[in-house]
Amino acid sequence: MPPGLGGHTAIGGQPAQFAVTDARLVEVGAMSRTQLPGLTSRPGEAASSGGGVPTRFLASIPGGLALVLLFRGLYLVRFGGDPCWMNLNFLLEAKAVRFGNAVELRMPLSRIVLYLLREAGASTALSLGAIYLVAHSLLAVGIFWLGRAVLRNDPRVRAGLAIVVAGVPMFATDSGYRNIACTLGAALFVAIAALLVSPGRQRLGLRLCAAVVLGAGAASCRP
Amino acid sequence: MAGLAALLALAGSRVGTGRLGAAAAGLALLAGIVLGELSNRHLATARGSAGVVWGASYSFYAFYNSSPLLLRLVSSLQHPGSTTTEYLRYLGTVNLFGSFADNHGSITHGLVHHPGNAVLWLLTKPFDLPATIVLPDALTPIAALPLWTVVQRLRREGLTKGLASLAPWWVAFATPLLFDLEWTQGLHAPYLLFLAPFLLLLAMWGIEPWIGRASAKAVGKVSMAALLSAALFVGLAGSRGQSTSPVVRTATEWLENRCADRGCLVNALPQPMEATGWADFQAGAPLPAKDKRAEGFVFGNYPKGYRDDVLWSNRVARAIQRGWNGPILYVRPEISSFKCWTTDFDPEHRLEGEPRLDRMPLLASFQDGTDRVDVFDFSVR
Repeated sequence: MPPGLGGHTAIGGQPAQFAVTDARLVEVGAMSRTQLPGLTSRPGEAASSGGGVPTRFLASIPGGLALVLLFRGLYLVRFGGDPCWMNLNFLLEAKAVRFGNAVELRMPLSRIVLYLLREAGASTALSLGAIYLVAHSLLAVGIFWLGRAVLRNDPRVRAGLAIVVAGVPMFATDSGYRNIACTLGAALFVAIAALLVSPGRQRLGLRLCAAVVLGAGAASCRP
Repeated sequence: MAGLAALLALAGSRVGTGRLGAAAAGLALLAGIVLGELSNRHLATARGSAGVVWGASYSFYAFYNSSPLLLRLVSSLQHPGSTTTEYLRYLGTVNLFGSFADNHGSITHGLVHHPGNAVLWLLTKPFDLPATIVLPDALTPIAALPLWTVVQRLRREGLTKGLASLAPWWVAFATPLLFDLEWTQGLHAPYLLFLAPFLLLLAMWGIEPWIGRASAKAVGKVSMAALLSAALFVGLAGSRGQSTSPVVRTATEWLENRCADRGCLVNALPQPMEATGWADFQAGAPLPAKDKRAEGFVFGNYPKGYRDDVLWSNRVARAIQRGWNGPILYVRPEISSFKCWTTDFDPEHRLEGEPRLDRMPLLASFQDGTDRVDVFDFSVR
């Protein structure tokens, strides 16, 4: 996790704005004062104290990622044997590279990764499954980081975000699998967005380098 | 990527890594494009012009087959079935803006020279986004609830202040949002993947005050119910289509083993077989390059060279002439569990001709239910 992404600020380093926001909620009756940790103590301290062990586990990046991977594993076990029509195009491109058949020249990341995996002996299902899991891991972690840039530092909110990312049909059904170039491209894009727009300047060089590498991948990955 | 770089540059130090981040995003974009070009040029040099499809018509085709849902609705009411396939939608758009040739391959040219239709298109296209968001395999109609809470929160906090507090997300996702509003294909959930993180984050921002005031017990119950229902949904309805079957898989494995050493010359295979078997099934006489997004293919005007080169009898003759003495196999799939051919994208299947099989030895046969795949040996002629 990059420095400055949660753990010590309430909403991306803007505690004053946080307090005003919640005060307004009190005014309109949406929350009671006793439920406003940000007004009764320092935002970071009080906010991080909520939630039981499962909530705190899911609120952490590894915990949220574990839940996401559990759902993606469920999809693969249930439907991973079917490559889906769009992915067949990328598999064909990889195969064309290997055997010298006619090839459509598109942005190459998907075909290169698939080519390397297939050439290493991985089956179709294993190759697609590996890219799928890596892409969804990047996507999930990127969303969690972006969440920490704006959402309040409340374990229940973070656990809620992990549950939504894990279970929303957009990611958990074949929408997140059937065009693996889209999934990979979106994952790389979200990861670099998280690196670049999240608050804090610690380890800036590392973040920028990672963003360039991931971004080059994203830019060479068109569906 | 370009949008992210531009907005980071504009936001400066107010958002994340600011201008340094903008430079990194710009550099990444450049590196990605250069790497892509180098990879493509390397392939093109290795293949020669006959072996590659440059895809010059890709963006034109993508735009033309992504007609706004409202226009499609009107069109399908006037002419039922007129928008059911990509090629039909493309033809519908040709009626609005002219052909690829008319516009010299320029979408802008088509829009500028048909301003009335362009305005209609641009005004109706944004409705595709909400229609795609509520798909069962996207965010489902339930998405309306948290997005309503976003509106409520913005009303409470003030529009300007509320939107400003989301600055990092705007910088990241403003460009994908614009793209999804005016370009992308409606009712196709995977193309929403770039924007979905923003929508999910926005939804969480909308409901976080409610999470904050709810009891831990209530939050726990809702979370558990959400997880269980999501798991059930994924397990029972996680896949909408089918692109293979047990017979197709078994027959492909058989072919893969048979052709592992030096490849085989096989007739045009259904894509699920050709794409998943890691062996050369076009040895001796490869199929010609197929630019399925080129307008000639959309109109069904296949070049004569293409028609000649996909003919099975011509391929066999060509392979023998070149000295091919490996296996020559004819695969006859009869698949009814799913549609293994498409009329538009598999013209080679329609154009390759049907050889007489009655004297050909049957090498292998695979059957499961109503699906059957037979493999004939053409090496013995």
